[in-house]
Amino acid sequence: MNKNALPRRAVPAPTASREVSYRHGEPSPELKLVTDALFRHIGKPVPRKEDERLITGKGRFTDDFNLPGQVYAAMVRSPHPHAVIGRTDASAALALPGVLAVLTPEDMLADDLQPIPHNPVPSTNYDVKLRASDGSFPFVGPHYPLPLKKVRHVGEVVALVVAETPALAEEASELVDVEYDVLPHVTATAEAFQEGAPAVWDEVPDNVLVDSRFGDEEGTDAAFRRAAHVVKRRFHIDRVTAVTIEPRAALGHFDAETGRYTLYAGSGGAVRQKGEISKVLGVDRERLRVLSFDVGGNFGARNRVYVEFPLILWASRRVGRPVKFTATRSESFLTEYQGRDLITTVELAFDEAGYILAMRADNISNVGARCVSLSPLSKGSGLISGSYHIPCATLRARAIFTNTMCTQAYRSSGRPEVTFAIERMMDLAAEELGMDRVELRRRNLVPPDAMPYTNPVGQHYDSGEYEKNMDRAIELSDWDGFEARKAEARARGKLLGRGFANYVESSIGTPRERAEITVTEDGRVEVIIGTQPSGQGHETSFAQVVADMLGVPVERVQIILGDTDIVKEGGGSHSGRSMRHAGTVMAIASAELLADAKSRFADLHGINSSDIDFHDGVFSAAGVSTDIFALAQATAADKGALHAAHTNEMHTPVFPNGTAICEIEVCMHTGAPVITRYVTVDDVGRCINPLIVHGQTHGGIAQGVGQAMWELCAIDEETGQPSAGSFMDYGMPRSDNMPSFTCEIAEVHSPTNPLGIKAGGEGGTTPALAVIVSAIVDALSEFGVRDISMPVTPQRIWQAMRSAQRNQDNLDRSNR
Amino acid sequence: MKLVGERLLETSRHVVWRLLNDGEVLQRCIPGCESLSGNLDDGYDARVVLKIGPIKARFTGAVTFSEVRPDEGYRISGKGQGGVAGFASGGALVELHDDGGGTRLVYNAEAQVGGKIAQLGARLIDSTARKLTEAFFTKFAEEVAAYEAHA
Repeated sequence: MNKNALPRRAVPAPTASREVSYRHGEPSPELKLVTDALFRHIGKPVPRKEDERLITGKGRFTDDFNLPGQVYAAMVRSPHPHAVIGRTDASAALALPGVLAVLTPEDMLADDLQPIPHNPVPSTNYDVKLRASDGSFPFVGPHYPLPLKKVRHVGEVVALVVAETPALAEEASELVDVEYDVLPHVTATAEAFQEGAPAVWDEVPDNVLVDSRFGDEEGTDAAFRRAAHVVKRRFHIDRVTAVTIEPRAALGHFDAETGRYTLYAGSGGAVRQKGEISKVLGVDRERLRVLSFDVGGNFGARNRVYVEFPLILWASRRVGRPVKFTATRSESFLTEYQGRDLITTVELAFDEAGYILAMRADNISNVGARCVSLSPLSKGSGLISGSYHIPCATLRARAIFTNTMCTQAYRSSGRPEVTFAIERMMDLAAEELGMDRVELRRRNLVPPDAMPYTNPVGQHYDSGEYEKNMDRAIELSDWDGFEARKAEARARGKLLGRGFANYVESSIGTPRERAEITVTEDGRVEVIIGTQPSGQGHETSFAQVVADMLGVPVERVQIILGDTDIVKEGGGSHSGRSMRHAGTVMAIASAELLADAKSRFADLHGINSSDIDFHDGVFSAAGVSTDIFALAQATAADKGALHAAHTNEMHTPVFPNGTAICEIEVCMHTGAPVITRYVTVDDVGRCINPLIVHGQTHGGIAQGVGQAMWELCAIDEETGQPSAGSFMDYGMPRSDNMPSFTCEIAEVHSPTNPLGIKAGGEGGTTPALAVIVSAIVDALSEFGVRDISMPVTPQRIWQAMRSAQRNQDNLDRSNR
Repeated sequence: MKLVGERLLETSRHVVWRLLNDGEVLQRCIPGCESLSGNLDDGYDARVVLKIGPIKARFTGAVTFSEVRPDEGYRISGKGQGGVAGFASGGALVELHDDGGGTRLVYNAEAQVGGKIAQLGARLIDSTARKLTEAFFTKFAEEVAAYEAHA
């Protein structure tokens, strides 16, 4: 590869005034100690502390909890995508012995339950600002636990039944007779904003709740006028669901004596659930305790409140018994918050040499029946230019209502969609410009000396060495051996294709996080933190950080999560925020704890605190030394527990980045694809635990590949009926359809936080959709296939091969 | 879902028409039919137990007739409610033609389903519908034979 084919284009130098949020003045000596430390645990593949518990059946998942006297709830769900709710006749259900209650929207209104305050419009200083077309704050559609007047998607809960046993509740729910006056519906993203489409909400007659424009229109138009080449495409990144291994469940209890509600419900963060559900119930926050311990998968689907959670708490108050709800797998398919569903139209202007001059993008996000989150649209909007220097761009960002389940941030919210678009465009442009696709990318990458870099829609990329990632991935993939592998595959009747994708993504997340660290008298360090793992290994990686800060063995550090009576604040886990936010606040709290410990040591021995040395958990000066546990014990009586608590707010996003390359063999006869090689290089910033980061990358890849190859929340447009309600109709990535991955971690420390962390949970997913489709199209290139839509099932591949071949035959005939 | 087909029955159009409009005959022919009441002018109310894949449900439905041309055919429209299992609605054009000494019954049906049947049984609906149609006509042919034997 000739790297020096052309002189590099000048990219504007970074602006000098870029603030770096954690550096409010000089770091304290203790924090400096922490950031400069030669780490003992950080960066090591410490095996996960939680695994033994989880693999020996000692996990505490929501459905594992039971309370004396509990009864069970079943939901009555709408079979129609759009209908006015008529009379509800519950008499047959209530006549069954053991049925305690059937609760309807009228009951809900009588008890004054409020809509779930989802707060869907991203609001940190760094999020793009999404507004309605007239500039006002978007109408999001109130999310009452039970709908008023209309149902707006199949599966919407219209009543709940409480009974002595789960089977009885289920049986009774089938006897609840709800009359519906069916209305015309719209489910397809491409249809909902067209003239004459049925309105999901009367308040938004055209279904377009957000319509915002960003960027430099004049500059972009000028650049397109002088472009040598323009490439334009439209892509639909369709709808998928998280398929958490543990379906959602909840156990709610109202204690009439104390007036307090208790909710056991796994989620993405108990503190948020407590805040929002208490508002639905109309009670003070402290009247609700939420417990979320082990959570069997989240991927974004559990971050927002589900209607069933406030419903069972309310039902518990009505029937005077604890009430449990456990979703079936079909209910999960139907009504778990879903992901993606974005239509994007992208136009790139190139000059003669293949440098990108400008970009136009038009993104339309299908939020479903009400707006629960605009994160996917917002996150994607900020990253339309991907890893490339694009001098100017315009973006139109729209969000639309449809008669479908609500969408929510789903692993790598918004980024796989726009990465798919820009990376597919780079492949298609290379083809149209007659250039090598790697060289075209290389020419346009943001170079390291332009960091921090401001992209054309105003996002500040913090750091990264994009070209280095690309070169390393090329090397790891044995790029030069491809032609030989391709010839060998061909001899077996297989078409070998190679996919390529760069990515950059952003991790923002709720800006506040709190850590409370206590050195206990029995020789442990307790850390209370408000994140919520669902397989990310916080109990290990967080312990590694605190162990290194305080110079103690990692086994002594215990992470406490998930009970809102203990964890008072915390932003939960999403958007790759946990390690960065928790790591930072734990570092600051540890520094404060060390400062306090130092002064205690000075007082204890009557020495000047500036002379004290701290090393491996031991304070020493003037010939005396005390370890941190002994110090905590010795000073507890006088000064109380050795303890520090800190709440930190950090808005600055970080930008993980990397490259993925894969090879796929397609059977010439059946169209069946098999992934034979998958290589990634991922810049996660500082890596705390490579074992966990690799695990995250592997899972992330599988999740992205799943969408590219199998997964789809199929909806019959004519009837508005979802038709994938079980694993029979929803294909999943499995160990037998995944290859072994070659993953390498690159660590370009982020300047935005003391530990230099970016994020490692989503980088596997972000480029996966693009790299798979890139490989399939490459494999089919000899048939004249240029693009294919996801999921790339054998049937779609076979059809693409055949129709491309038919077109070619027709062309040959007409030329003859 | 669309279902198009035809059957040759060994009797006259008039007899086929007569049997097609005999509630008792229909109840015996419709698989899983627990009750059927009504007539050609007012339509029928029916209760039918159906099993599609993992879903078994009792449907209550009503059918009405239009474009009625005695001995020649009609259009059927219907709706059924299966509670939580879902619902179905649809219609069929039924035409009777002379064919040799017998009658060729041609049907062109279309149906839509919703609820659990759609979510869990979508891929089974076509084959289930074909099976049920087969069962109906097998029984109906028997009814024709029995009628001819007693005529």
